[in-house]
Amino acid sequence: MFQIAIIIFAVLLFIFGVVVFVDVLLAKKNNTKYHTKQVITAFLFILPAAIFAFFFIALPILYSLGYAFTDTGLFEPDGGKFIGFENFKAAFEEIKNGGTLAIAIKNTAIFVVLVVPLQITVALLLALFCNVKYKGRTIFKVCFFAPVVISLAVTSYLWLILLDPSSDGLMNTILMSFGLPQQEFLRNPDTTMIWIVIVSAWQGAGYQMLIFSSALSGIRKDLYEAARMDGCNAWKRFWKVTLPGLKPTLLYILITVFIGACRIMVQPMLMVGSYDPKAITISYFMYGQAYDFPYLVGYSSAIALLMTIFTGTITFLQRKLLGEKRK
Amino acid sequence: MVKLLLKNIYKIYPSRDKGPSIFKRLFSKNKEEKPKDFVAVKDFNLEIEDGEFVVFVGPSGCGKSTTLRMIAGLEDISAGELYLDGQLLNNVDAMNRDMAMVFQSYALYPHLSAYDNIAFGLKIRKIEEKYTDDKGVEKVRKRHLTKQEIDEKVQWAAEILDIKQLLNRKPSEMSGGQCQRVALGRAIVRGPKVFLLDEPLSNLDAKLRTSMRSEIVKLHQRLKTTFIYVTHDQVEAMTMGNKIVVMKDGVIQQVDKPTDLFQYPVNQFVAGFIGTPQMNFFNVTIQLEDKKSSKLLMTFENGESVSLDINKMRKIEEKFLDGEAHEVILGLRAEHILLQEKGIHLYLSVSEILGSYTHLFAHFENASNDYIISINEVSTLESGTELTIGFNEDKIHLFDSESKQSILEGKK
Ligand SMILES: Nc1ncnc2c1ncn2[C@@H]1O[C@H](COP(=O)(O)OP(=O)(O)OP(=O)(O)O)[C@@H](O)[C@H]1O
Ligand SMILES: [Mg+2]
Repeated sequence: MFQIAIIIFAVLLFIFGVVVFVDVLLAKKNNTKYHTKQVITAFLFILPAAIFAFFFIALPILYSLGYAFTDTGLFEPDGGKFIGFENFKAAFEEIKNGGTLAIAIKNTAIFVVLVVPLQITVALLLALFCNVKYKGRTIFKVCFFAPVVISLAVTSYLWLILLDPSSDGLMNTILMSFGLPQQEFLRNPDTTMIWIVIVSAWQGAGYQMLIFSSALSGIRKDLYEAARMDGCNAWKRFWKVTLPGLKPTLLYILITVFIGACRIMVQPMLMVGSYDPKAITISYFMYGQAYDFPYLVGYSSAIALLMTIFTGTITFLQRKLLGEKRK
Repeated sequence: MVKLLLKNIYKIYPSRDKGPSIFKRLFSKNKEEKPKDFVAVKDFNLEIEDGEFVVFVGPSGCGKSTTLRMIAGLEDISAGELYLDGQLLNNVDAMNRDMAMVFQSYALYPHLSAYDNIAFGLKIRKIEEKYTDDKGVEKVRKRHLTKQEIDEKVQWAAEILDIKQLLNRKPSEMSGGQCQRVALGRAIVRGPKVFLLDEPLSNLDAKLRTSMRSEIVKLHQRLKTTFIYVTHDQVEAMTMGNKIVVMKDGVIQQVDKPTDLFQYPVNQFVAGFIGTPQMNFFNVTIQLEDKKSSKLLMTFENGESVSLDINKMRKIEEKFLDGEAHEVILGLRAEHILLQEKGIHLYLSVSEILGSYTHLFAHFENASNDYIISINEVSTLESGTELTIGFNEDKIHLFDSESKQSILEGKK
């Protein structure tokens, strides 16, 4: 305990030192007076949040970074020894040989490619639907947003019941009453990921809908009127006024949904489970490697690091390619 | 020929207030308790000839914008009919009306450059083109304008409005006046049948406003298209319009040429609204000295009176010439009040020297409200000085003290 306290204190002191140093430098550069008292006050205000962030964000990240280069196992957190890039080599080896990791990557890729456009389109359509003024639209908004507040575990089980592959399942009963064939849903390897995509989009879209709908109400009404006078019908107004007006929001949503999608884990875990190759994803695989047999925390950390680098690069590219050019 | 006809047009906004609750309505005896709707425009009748410059003017909230937006098609017409060239427009959507509008807020598309803003409407619309097919039959086809045609038109508009050097800029990189020119460019480039302008200059500073005012008038003379211009500024209205529509509370007060509006206001509201400084209104009584004479005795609130020759005045309504005393309102513009030897006595409150002329603010003895007198010299009078004023009979306006309508004959 005492050791940890000293570590925290040392780290905070170090950060404070850096902040003050940079601050003094900036003050010198801008020829402004330096107020030590204010800086200390500011730092004290940050302190509670900083301690929290240090414990729950910075420290785990640092630990995980370190584990990636060791052969640490789950039950010997301090017992691993440094093995250089062996974990990374093993990961690439597994991908090359078409091991579980390769399947996980394939599944995750399918998921991301399908869920990002689906979820964003659904969210945009819902937002447009809720932005038209009519009686009772708040009810719709609440309904669309509800899945966001409900726990992932609950919605996963809910859908599991709906998608029961037996002939008594709710979906199957409905399908069969229309004379359609009984479906396997999650049990059919061809449709497993698709159903996970649908459930995830349904669960997540409400949140993006809310962001879209506030962005929509921020678009000036007179632009729509000007477009009407210029001869645009509703469809063209959407393309020429609404979409350009939503562009910054769209970029933000694209990035957040993309990053979220890359981390998909709970739905495959709860709705399929047991590291089934039908639905295993990178995060799920990673989790399984560390917290289940063979308990390889080091290996898992290496994969996490690779994934972070990958998503980081894609996000950076998205910003570069789609973002507004700043002057 | 483009002729715009507005017939008995109404705009009624339904009340937001939902009125008494369902329970109250169920159990109350008075079932008629409906919330009142708001009538923003009332029985609006107007004929606009091709190429006219019509100005809607009136105080804030009188329904000018609403009327304009109904003509544009951005607002539904609650009742009445709107015709363009004999075609009923009520149910034609704004996008098909072939009118252009300049908004007070400019409403330029923020993500497009000035060039693309101007070209926007050209790219959207299709033009009809006659051609002869293989069999030699004349047909009409619709097509978009080519890039080159669009460019020619944009350059033409940019030339007229002097914005060639701004074409690559985004709206956020231009000043208000420049944005307004681009907005004008977007309107003229399409060659619409009617231009609608809703207070396009109100966001500009006074100097720019004056220069843009004459720019717009020049533009009108050049294009010879119908312009409908909305403003709450009577100076703008008087300097720009051929035909001015004065509105108040959703009702047309008077439609006239600027000069006639100034000389023959039909009621006290128009008289007070048009002209700066505002017209002075005196409560007076008039009485014919005796039945046969042509002398009219006008008594002011301080008891002093002047004798007027009715032959020199515009013809007065017969019922005021019955020899009885009638309370009426006398309207006199500041520049028509003369300082002279004999007449009515006022006391100077303050004088405002405005360069070569002076505004004198004066009041009756023991009264507080000031009347404005404009004189063409730099005044050296001290406040409290006694002034003796008079006026010429042909410059006066008389209004009924109850209906506020003019009781003098209008223009012959
Ligand atoms: N959507 C609406 N619902 C209810 N009332 C409205 C609505 N729009 C305008 N009004 C009312 O209609 C009246 C006329 O409005 P309008 O915008 O035409 O005024 P205006 O003459 O253009 O005034 P200004 O010079 O301030 O622009 C106002 O009293 C306004 O409160
Ligand atoms: Mg207005």
